[in-house]
Amino acid sequence: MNTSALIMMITAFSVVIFMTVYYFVKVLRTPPRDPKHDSYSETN
Amino acid sequence: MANKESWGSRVGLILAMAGNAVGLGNFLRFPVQAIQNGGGTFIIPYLICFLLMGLPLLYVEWAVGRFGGKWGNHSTPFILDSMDKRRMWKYIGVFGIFTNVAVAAYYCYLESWTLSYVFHSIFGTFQGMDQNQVADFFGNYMKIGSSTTGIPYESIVFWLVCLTINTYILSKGLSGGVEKAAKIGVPLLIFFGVLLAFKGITLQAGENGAINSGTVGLNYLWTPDFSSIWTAKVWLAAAGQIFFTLSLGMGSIHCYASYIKSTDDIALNSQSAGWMNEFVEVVLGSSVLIPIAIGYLGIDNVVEMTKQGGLGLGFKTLPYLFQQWGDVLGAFAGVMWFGLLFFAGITSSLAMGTPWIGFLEDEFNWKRKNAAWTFGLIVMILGLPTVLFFNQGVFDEYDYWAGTVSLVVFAMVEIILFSWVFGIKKGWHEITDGADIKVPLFYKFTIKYITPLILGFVFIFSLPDIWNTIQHTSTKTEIAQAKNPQQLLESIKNTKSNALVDLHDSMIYKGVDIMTNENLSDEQKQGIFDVREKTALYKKYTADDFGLNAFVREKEKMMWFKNISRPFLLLVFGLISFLVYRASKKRELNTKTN
Repeated sequence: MNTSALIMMITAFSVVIFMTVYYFVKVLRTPPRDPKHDSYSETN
Repeated sequence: MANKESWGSRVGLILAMAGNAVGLGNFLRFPVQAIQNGGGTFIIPYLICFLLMGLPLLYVEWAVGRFGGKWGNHSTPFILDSMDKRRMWKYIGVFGIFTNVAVAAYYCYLESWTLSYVFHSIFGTFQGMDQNQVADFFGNYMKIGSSTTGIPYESIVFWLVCLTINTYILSKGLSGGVEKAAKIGVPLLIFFGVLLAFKGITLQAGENGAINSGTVGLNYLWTPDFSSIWTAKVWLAAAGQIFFTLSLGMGSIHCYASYIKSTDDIALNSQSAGWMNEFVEVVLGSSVLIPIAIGYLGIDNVVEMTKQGGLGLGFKTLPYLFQQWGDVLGAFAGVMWFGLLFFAGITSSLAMGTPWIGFLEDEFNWKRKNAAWTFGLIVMILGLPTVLFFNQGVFDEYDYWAGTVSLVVFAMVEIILFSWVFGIKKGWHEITDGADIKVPLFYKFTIKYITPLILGFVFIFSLPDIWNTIQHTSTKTEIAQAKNPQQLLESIKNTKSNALVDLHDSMIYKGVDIMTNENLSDEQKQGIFDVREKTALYKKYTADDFGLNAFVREKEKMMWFKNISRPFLLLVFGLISFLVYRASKKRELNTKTN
């Protein structure tokens, strides 16, 4: 691959993978505010 | 209100939303759009459109949905009605049910092809076939009477099976059906995608008949061509792709979000689901179809094939290329490719069923199961013309009006409602209320000014295309060229004497590696493909065995079927509007009684 294509691809992949993982991990780590009365039946 | 449904878990909701967004377009449309719009440069407008149009609309649609849910509304007519009491919003909200039903009508047929191809991959149907035979197989599959397995009316059978699966899952409820399907489907499609992407990227020239390494395709896809970044066409294509990939302007996001309580987050959820879709599209979508296709067929052939869209490459070419990896690995690759397309498809079509079901549950106190089966029935009735008259262009007509134009119109109207009628102050409060992340203030300005402007730009620039579609311009041009092939010769002559003036015929007709030839300008490359295409058409129209009358009759029949499809779709829109009218009368009566 040529350098410009490689830079372009790695930059795009890195941004997208970082944001996807960052937000998903944040979802997993954020504790429910009110587990008894939230929107999700499994925690109620 | 009878509707007591809820999501089972937060992760389940995000996977369902991501599944709604991830569709066949992530793997078939995105790479083709990138190839046709400057390769790596496409990603810059694409990501800018994602940030300035995609993410803001995600915030808006999640916020609008949750707001409507507060008042017990789970379908767009009454969700919009809860934001502003003017009667027209209810009827604009009809788009949010109509689009889902009409898109599901043809999308389930497309989904059924993937299911069928999974079976054909398992049973080794494609083994020993050459490239033309695999392409013909697809053509034959579309002929209703033909059978490739011995099952009569095979394509209809697979379509009905697919519809039944969708309806059954929908009847099991939000957490018991849709969410469970997303929890299985989304991880599996990512897993299959990662394996195929690995195989695509590591493909070696000379191995199993490959003429290029996988990196050649990646190189072509990702090499920036900054000359094309300033053309409106590229931006329009990027904005369009963001629309389709995120399932914006459909009404399904509103419906899913309406089951979230007002105290719960939507900001982080929307970001997580949106970026998950981008991961599947940008990382996996760019690493499978193009690297494998270019690896075996070369850049020029693939560029020529992508002019017909991604479906041809995905269904007519890839099954043949997988066979080059041997019987066992080829079968596995086929199952993974069509399996991931099936999961991408079904998690989207399930989202299309939910607004209709929510509407019947809310307004007419229907039980989930009954509402789900009526959805299946309506999709079957509405979808039947797309199955029976696929070759007459009915499928494409549905896709254009319901799956393209309606989305842009609805999104444009909803952003105006949110920012300017409901008011950005209240709207911003809805977005940030209960948020688990700090939403950048920049988005307040973007949602009010920039996103509506981009949507207006997309709509206005789409108008010529809408007009040409109404007028059947391309079909009429085909007929005119067939009747008078001399037109083609003149056009070829013009291109040669303008864009290709310095090039010899041997380069124009027989030159290879055109797309990677640095001595040729973009205009020349385009001109060469144009001349080759027109020459092939000229040969076809002047061949002894070409039946002009039959060709013209076929094209006229196609225009007739397309003309019939339009009022049919309008009728569906009218019927849903009538139901909305009945529901609002019912509500008024209930209010008076109480």
